[in-house]
Amino acid sequence: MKRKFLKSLAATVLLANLPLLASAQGSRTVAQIAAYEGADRQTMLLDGAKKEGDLMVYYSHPIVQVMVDAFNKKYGLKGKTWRGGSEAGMQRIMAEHKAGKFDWDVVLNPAHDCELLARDKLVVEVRSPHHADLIEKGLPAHRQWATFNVDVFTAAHNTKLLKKEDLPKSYEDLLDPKWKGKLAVEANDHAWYGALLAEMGEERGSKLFEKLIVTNGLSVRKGHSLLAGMVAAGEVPLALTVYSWNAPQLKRKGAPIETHFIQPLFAIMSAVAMSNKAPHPHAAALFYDFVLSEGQKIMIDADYVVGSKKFETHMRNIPYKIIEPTEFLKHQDKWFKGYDEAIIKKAR
Amino acid sequence: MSPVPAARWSLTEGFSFKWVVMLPCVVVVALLALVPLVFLLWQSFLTSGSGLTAGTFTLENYASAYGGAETIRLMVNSLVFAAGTSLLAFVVGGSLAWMNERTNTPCKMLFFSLSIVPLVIPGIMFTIAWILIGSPKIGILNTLLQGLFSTDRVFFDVYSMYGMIWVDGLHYSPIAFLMMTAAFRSMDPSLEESALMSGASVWRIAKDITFKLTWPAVFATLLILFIRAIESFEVPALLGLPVGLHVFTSAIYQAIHQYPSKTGLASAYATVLLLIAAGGIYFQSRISRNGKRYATVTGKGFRPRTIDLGRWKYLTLAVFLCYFALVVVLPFLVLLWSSFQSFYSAPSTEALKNMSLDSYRFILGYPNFSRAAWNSVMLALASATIVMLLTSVICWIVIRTRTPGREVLDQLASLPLVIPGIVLGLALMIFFLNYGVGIYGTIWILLIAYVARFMPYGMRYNTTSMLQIHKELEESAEMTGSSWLRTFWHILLPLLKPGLLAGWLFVVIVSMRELSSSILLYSPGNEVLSIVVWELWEAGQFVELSALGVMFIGVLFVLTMVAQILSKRFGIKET
Repeated sequence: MKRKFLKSLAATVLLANLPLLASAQGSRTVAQIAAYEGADRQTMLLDGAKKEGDLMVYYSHPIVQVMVDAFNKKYGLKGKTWRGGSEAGMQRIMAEHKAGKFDWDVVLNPAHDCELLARDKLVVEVRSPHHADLIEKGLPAHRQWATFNVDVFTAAHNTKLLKKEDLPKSYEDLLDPKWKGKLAVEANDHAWYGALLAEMGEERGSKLFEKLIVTNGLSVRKGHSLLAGMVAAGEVPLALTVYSWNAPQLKRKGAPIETHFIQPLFAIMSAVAMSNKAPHPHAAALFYDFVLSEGQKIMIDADYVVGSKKFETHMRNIPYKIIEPTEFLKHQDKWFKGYDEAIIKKAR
Repeated sequence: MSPVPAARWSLTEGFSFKWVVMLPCVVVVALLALVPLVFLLWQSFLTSGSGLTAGTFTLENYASAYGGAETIRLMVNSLVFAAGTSLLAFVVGGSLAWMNERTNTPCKMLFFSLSIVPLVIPGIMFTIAWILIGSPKIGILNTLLQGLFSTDRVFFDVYSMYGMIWVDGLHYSPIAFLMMTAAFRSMDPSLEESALMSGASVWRIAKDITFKLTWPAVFATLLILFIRAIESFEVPALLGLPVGLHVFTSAIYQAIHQYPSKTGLASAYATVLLLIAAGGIYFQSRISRNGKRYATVTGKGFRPRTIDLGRWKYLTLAVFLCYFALVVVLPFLVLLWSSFQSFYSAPSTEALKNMSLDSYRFILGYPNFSRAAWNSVMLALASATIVMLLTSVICWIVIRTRTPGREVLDQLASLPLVIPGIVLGLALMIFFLNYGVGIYGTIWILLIAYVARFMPYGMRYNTTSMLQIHKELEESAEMTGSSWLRTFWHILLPLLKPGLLAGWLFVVIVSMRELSSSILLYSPGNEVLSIVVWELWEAGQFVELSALGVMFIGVLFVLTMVAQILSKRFGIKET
């Protein structure tokens, strides 16, 4: 009887103290956890993450699954992922938000999508110690997303069909009739085209492409990976807009493909952002830090160009301009229409 | 007991048990159809709104969708493409079905399974395989012929309207094959036999008797093929886009696949598809009204028997072999070839050195692969079974009764056919996020989406089959005091078996392939195979994708062979 009483007393004391124990950890809001800069940030986040036991990452970039797996392995956590096209991810986030369902913790999407999430006040500033390592444009003034990947648009050629010395040095060179039936671009690269025209001068640029299509034709392919695959297969001898990582990845498998640079080069960024309604805020912030540190190494090993300055990329000595998300959003409709009219509809 | 045709919504008949079955079916179908339909129409009148700001009323979507001459050009392209594709697919699939079901062509056993292989190959892979076969630059067909005749003439250009029709028509010929197979199997051959006895030629019998008796099935097949072709995405994107040949769906795709998405514009585009489909379904319901004319399965004895083609059977065998060489074996070999490579390349002696099994290892070790495969198989089996049973009840109401509003029911159950998958996914997502009882985020939402998407196919399969069965069989059952449920289960469903099986198989395959709704609606833990296919595609892992395609084909081939053997053993025997 006595023992039973003692047992239940102990249980009551323990139960009564649980909220206290929890509040020592859990009284912080999502924003406070994300912004915590104390020396014990890492320990605090990891302890919290272990208690949360879960993490939900929404993403569109192919490398993210590898990062999540490495993250789970390192910390013994069980982070889950949802993957879809970037626009499907945005639809999902918006629909869930409107219905008051807050499932996701971290999103990795194109930076202009993250910028929209910031404008709609769906994300929170994370005070990551790794922000200091980012490239200049990798962190916006409001600091609500951070760049983890830079996709540089480059040309790529089939090394069996074209010799290096014959490759074009400028866009003007492409007007040479020897390029007839050999060129292709990707179907969704309106930002590349818009930025290129702005750089060349609208009139000069659009005249050049008009002439190029009349003289040599320009084929349009759907998807950068497919376009690069078609270069490797010899179907497209010279592609003008693959990502800088496409060719090295294929080359590693033995494909006859090589990156080629025609200046000026442009790039777009992919970014990581944390939900301000994150159900697992500790794990979310911990993963955010991971993406910008060890995650960058994983990306470098897979031939990607990263947002962190700490790592040397294959683009280190090549100048390129980053198309900023604000610019992208501002001109999106105009660029889209321009590309559609001048390239997509005229493809042949 | 009232006779079957008089079944009416009448209280004077008293309570009938059949409504316990029918009412829930009607409610489910109405809900599944109305949620996406209302959403589509509602969206088409809204501005796209960005992020959290709601859209406002506008007619702008319709103005920009149908305002310019551009749309007319797209429509014309789409119509030419869809008409060509559906005709080719019908001729190919229909004649294969005829040879397979109505003639004594040798080696038929194998043909059923082989005929549906093109449908199993992921659309993207089927198209890429044809690029490797028919491209003017690297296509093996061209390089072989060019070498043979020592010329640089292009023999076959896959990047053209003809190329597009060819590839898509072949890819969808199994739809025609499956639908027409069901129709031929449920056909009493006595009329054909009498014609044969009175000296009519095989061609004349096929044209004047077989074709006319199966007219509802012919029309339904053409309707489905036409709409499928109008909606087709992979072929226009991979073969039309490179040379500036654009179709209607490219516009829908473009509107949706950007953010903020122009769902309203896409919906406005889709309404014209709705009108076309509604017209087709209305026309078919007119055919159904004269249902009796097509009913050959009656109270009289019925033995499915084939026509003896005599020596001609070797010709039909030759046709079969040609078809398989061209449409099944060639793309399959390309797929098989590239699955052993480390990157995509046309066959050559040099590429022989790069052969490996890595891609198969990769697929089998892919994260969540076995879970995705399991989910896909379960979903496909469940959605196919639900779709076929649900629509058989709906069809019974539409065809056998004079219930008011039955034509509306027919339209409702058929119209999701033309709702773009992503719009349907979005509609269900928003609906279940706001009203669902714990369905969002589970595998059930995928099942619901598949049933909604593929219900229209069930309708077409069941309608055509039911028209072939004379109601006198049900009437005699009722006369002997059998309940409605008993008659339905023991008389009608077994008679519908050929159509049910063909439709079931079709829904199984398309469910396994469904991507555009799945990608919005799946959640971690309920991944499906089509997502894996999409991920591989996005990451440019074409050789791994080929390996997956080869595995798909292998599994499906074995499954259909087993189904064939089982149905031979337990089905109606030839005597």
